[in-house]
Amino acid sequence: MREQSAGFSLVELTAALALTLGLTAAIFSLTQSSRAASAVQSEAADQQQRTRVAVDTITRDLLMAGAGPYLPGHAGPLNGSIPAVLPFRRGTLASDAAGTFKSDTITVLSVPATAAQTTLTADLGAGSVTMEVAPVPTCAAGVNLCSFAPGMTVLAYGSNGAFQIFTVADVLDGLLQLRTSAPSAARYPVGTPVVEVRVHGYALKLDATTQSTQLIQYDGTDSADVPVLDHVVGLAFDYGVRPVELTDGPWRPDAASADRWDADLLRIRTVGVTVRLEAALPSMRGPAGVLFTNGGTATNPHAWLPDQEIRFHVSPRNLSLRR
Amino acid sequence: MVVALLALSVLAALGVAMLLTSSSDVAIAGAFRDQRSGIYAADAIVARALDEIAAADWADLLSGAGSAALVDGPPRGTRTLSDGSRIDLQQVVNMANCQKASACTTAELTAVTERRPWGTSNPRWQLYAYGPLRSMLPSSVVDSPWYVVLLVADDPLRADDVIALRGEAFGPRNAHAVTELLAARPPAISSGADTDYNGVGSPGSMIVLSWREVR
Repeated sequence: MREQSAGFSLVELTAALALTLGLTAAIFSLTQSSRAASAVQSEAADQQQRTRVAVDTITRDLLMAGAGPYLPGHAGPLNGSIPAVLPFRRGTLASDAAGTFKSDTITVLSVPATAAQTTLTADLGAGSVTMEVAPVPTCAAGVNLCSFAPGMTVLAYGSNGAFQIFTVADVLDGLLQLRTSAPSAARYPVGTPVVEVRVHGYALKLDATTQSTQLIQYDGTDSADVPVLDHVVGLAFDYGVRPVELTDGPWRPDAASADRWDADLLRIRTVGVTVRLEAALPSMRGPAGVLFTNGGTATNPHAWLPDQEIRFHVSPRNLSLRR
Repeated sequence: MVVALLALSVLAALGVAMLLTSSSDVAIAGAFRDQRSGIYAADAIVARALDEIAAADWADLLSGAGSAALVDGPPRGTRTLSDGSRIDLQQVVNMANCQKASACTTAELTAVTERRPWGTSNPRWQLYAYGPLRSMLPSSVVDSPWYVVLLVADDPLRADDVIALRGEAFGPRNAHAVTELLAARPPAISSGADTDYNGVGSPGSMIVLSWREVR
């Protein structure tokens, strides 16, 4: 007698296949959430790192805001004469109009550790591009204007509060002259300090590529703004002084000056900074709202990475130096 | 069986990736925290020594006389940091003076560089104070891991009443922060003059003219 050959019926095969498929689907649905969590984790780390860069960059510049020269008669922080923290854009290009207050823009001035420090030996008239200056005291014999160089950003500021940022076009060492790339907007008298300066400005700008905003830095010169960080969707500065008090006068150097500034800017001792960053990938952003400034394509909340907002305060050391 | 193994492998790989990401993020955050807190440590030694410097004879101080109180031994040799790494005090001075560990030549001391643009007027840093920050603070306040060093030098203009100070902090994982200041003795104060924080400083105190972080 022949034995019946072993095998599966169609029903058994179908049932086994269905069982296997169901099991596989269940396991993959489990790994799916793990995959989403893994992807979010990686993006979250990137978001954290971008936050650290924003904090570090802005903090470093704010800490040194107002560092001044060591010139006799002018030694000390800049805010003895002019504001070193400005709630608007100021430089040789695209400066904001006098009396402007922008909560999302800041300009910070500081004199670096530099030998490029001198004073005017003749009045610098409005419209002039030639500064007659004294020899730099630390230059070697036979050199008058060591440390000054074409392209350098310099600051001239008077005791009356007038100040202007210039770019040096030429250094005429033998003639003790500095030529600037733009004319002076005001008259600066003999004795006005002329020193190398660092200008650091921060603002947000729309990035056409990502259709999001990016944190940009400007250096007060004609150079183009430099992107610092992408996908920064919020930036705000507060100064411990009500904004209205920073735009209502009294004005320096006077109310008629095109470059006037509110004397209350000299009261700034601390700067509060709020930065908000979004996930770079739209696939990790949900609908626009409280969690997301710019909406994305994510529908699964497991794959959401909400905007991260950080707020910190910086007390610029040079603005509170009297101990 | 195969499907289960496959799934386990995928889950394990994802887990390892997440672990690596989070652990490296923790390390980065730690380094960031150390860098930022280093600035405060470097500032602390300057603030701690200012009153002592105000009362000192600056000629002695600039010729190499160190602090009597804010030191942890002779002004030479190595010191062990809280994480077991070591620094050499003379190398710290040399690095400040000419950006190299070995002794500086006169030409190197007077070279015009981006960090030292004053040539023959470049600061010649001298050790003034050095030691673990925790030993300079009231013991119950904070157990700081930082080792701090304060260097002093004449200012670029060699003014009698101005001095340059350089605070350095050395911390865990090679963290290092530096601040430089110019400080001055306040001008003579007439009787009844304003001596509050908007004033010109009280007798015997110091006025800090500028503060900069060095990177």
